[in-house]
Amino acid sequence: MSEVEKVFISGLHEKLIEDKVIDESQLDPDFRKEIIKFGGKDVMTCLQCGNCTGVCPISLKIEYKTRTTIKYCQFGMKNATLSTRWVCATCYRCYEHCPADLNPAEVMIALRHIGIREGIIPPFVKRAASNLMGHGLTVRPDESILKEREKIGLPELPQSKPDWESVKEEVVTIIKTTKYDRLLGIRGDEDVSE
Amino acid sequence: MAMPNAELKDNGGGTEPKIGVFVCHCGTNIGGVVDCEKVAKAASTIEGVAVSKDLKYACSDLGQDEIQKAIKEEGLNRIVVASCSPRLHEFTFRNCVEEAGLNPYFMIMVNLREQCSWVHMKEPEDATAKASDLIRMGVERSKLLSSLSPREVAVEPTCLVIGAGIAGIQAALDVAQKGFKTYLVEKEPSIGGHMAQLDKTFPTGDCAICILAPKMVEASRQKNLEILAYSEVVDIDGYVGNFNVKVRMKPRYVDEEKCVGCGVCTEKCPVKVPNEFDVGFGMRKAIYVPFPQAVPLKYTIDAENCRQLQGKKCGACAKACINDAIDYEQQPRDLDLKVGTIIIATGFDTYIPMKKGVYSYWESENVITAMELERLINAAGPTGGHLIRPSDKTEPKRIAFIQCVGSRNHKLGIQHCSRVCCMYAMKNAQIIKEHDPETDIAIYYNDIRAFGKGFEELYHRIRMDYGVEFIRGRPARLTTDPETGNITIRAEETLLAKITERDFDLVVLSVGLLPSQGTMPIQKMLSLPTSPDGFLQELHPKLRPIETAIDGVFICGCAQGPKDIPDSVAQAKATASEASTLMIRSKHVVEPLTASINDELCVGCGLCTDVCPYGAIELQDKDGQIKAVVTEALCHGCGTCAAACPQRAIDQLQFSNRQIMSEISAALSHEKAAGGE
Amino acid sequence: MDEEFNPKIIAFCCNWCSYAGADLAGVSRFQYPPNIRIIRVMCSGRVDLSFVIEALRQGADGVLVTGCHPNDCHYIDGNKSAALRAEFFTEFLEEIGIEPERFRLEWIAGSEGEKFARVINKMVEDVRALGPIRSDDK
Repeated sequence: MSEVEKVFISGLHEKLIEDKVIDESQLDPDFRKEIIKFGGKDVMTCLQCGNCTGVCPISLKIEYKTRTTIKYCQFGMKNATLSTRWVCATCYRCYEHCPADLNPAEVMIALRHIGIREGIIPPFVKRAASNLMGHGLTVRPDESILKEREKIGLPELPQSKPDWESVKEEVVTIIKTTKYDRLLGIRGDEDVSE
Repeated sequence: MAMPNAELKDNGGGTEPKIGVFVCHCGTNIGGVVDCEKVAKAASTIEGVAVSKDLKYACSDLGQDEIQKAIKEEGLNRIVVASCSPRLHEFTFRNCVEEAGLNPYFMIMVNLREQCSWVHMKEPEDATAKASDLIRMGVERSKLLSSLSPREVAVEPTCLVIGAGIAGIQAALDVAQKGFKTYLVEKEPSIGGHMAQLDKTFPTGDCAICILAPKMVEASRQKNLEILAYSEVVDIDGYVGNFNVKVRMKPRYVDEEKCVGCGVCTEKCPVKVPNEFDVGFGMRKAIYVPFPQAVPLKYTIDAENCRQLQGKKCGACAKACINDAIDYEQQPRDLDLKVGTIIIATGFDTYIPMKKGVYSYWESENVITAMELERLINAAGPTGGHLIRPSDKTEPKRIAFIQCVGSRNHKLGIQHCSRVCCMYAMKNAQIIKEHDPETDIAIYYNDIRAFGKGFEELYHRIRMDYGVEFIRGRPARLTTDPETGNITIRAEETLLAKITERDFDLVVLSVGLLPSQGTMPIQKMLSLPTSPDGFLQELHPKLRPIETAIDGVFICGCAQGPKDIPDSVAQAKATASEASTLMIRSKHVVEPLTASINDELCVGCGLCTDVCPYGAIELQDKDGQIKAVVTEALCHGCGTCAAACPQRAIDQLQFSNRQIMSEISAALSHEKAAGGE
Repeated sequence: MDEEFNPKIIAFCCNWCSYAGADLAGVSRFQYPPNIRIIRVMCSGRVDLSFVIEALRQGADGVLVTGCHPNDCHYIDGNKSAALRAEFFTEFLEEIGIEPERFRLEWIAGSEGEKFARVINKMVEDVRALGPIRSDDK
């Protein structure tokens, strides 16, 4: 498994297909329309100039290439974007520079919506969602960090105070009303060890 | 010829309308969606319709024969042709009925194709019902048509060409050679345009000024051709055959009759400023000619930079001039010209990055535009043809070209492809390589467009024989090393699917073509439509590429859209031909769709005079009463006056109030009568 | 007969821009519903408000006037008159109790075939939602 997949989607039950020759069976012609449905612009406007990749901070560091992901979307190669859709930092530099006025970051976000609805949820997303439901925050501070803060004399964080309960309740109400918990398959009390 | 309000007028066959309806199948274009037979049958039941038939192709000889036969045999005096758009075939069918002896304005068309069958392809039943409605509207309107005669206007056999680049020069030469008086107006001190700035031209490598200069000289010697350089068109009004043009001749502060172009003045001038012709790289004096081959070869004083004209004492040029040609008191002169046709050849400007950060153009000295490069490699340029880096004047060994700068970019709002940049980049690469084969050249591109004659061959040669590298990828970042002035380009090389960083000594931006600054004022003066890309719009994109919405006004060269020299010359010759055809005929036929006033109803309020865009209506005293009067020759037939008149005293011929009302009723009454839906 | 209400819309199109745009929509095969009947005029300035009133009176559920974009009028500024009249007319409709959305003024250039189709599609849907025009109005 590549570096990206190890970090982000280890544990997912679907594997990337690596065939030497791609044929129709691996392509989904409606993929582009799905992306539009979930808020991305039509990927067919992309002329593959590569400017997005060139300005992308993630593309600099790992194998991931913004342009290639868009190409897979154009082609309908859904399975080739399973892990890459999660590494985008949504900094929007790609959108700022794109001459075809496409927004690859929004395409990534659309892909994430599609992925979640198909049940392909990376562990780190589930963790963050569970934290949100159980504690009102996507990232819980370590107990040791809280103790350090107290030692140095820093003010208490809002989540350590008693009125945080009402915040948590409101968040849970929102989550339950929007069925976010059902979408992600969380209860809020999952094991949250990092 | 004042016409009373548009009453029913006959053609000698009694006032009873005898209407012929002809429904065209247009092959399957209409017939494939609309049930033409059914529609023709339904039309035959409308009161007043004597003949109603469907035809395969109404515009064909066969179709037209049938129409003419029906007119003669059945005594038809109104014709409704239900087929394609009147914008296509109105003249065809007007001529057709005229040949059969019927006044052509008794023929109207109903659009069953562009506005029915082609837009309701999946709803044949609804399209058929709509076709029936549209025909009924046409039939009812036809009952209210009157016989009209087209107006003829005289055409002044004089042509005005605005802009003297290669396109303007060629057009002016052609028109003048056909024997018509031609004015060639150019806002710069010399004719020649951008072509004079280029080094060599693609794909052959012809030296630009070498092929341009003889044409410029020819223009200066051409009988009938008057060059008005350093002049601008400031006002145009009138109409085809009769345009009144005001040209302002800007003061050179040099008497053109006396100046022989010797150049002594420029030697003595103490002021040096950047030369626009060299795009800022070279210098010129305040009194100057833009380039050695200038036509006319007359000196010009740049008033803004001239010491004497700015109030500080100098007078060096006046002292030096042996012919006493300097005239600091010279004033602008206005010329009033009367011309029959106008050819617009105002050319292009290149894209200049306006914002910081666009490929580091403003941040780095060693990032230059293609036009700047042309001057640096031109033997007559500021460096005598030695390509040197602006920062340290050394010879660049590694050069990058970046394509599509200021073109194909939605973010900049410039969506069009500028057509010439792929080829001029290759051409410039070839020139540089010929100078120094050791230079490394890389061209960063998105797509290569090498479509013309000899283009693909150059593309092949430039890789095979000259070893120029083509990198597919749009550069994402340019950074400049402050010490060396070298530039690092970071781009994803898409064919490698890798992000690379490469260093270059010089970067050339292949900038796109935009409509020139000089085009805008002319466009405003004539209210010429522009295409979405900002260039002047042609009348029809395929079949009428150099005509405009205004009769008698033609466009050629880059004013119409980005193009190379051969295409500009071809268009220039085309406009010369069109303009000449108009002027040879010496009379132009104008449609009689004009305003007509009923004096009995007119109360002289003058509202119509306010709204007429052409000032064609005036209030005049008629036997002690104020009445509105239309000057037919100025009326263009918009009908705005008719809509403005509170008394309904003005109406528009062929689009009268009653006619339009009849169409409204016919469109809606049938539904109500049938119980509605 | 529970059929969906099909609005009847009269459209006045100026010869040089919007009628040409409508033609281009046809040439490009952009599809739109068959609910409109186009009346060709030379300029949007030709459209007398009494035409619009008459159309509504005779049962049109909507009236569309289309012309050249401002500054692009073939007759220099006929479309300016159209714009001023449209502004007045919308207020007038409100005063007499007719939904002002039944009347629309749009600028469509000769190169905007897609826009023409889009405008018709939208107007038909919007007027459909308003329902048939009340027949008790003058």
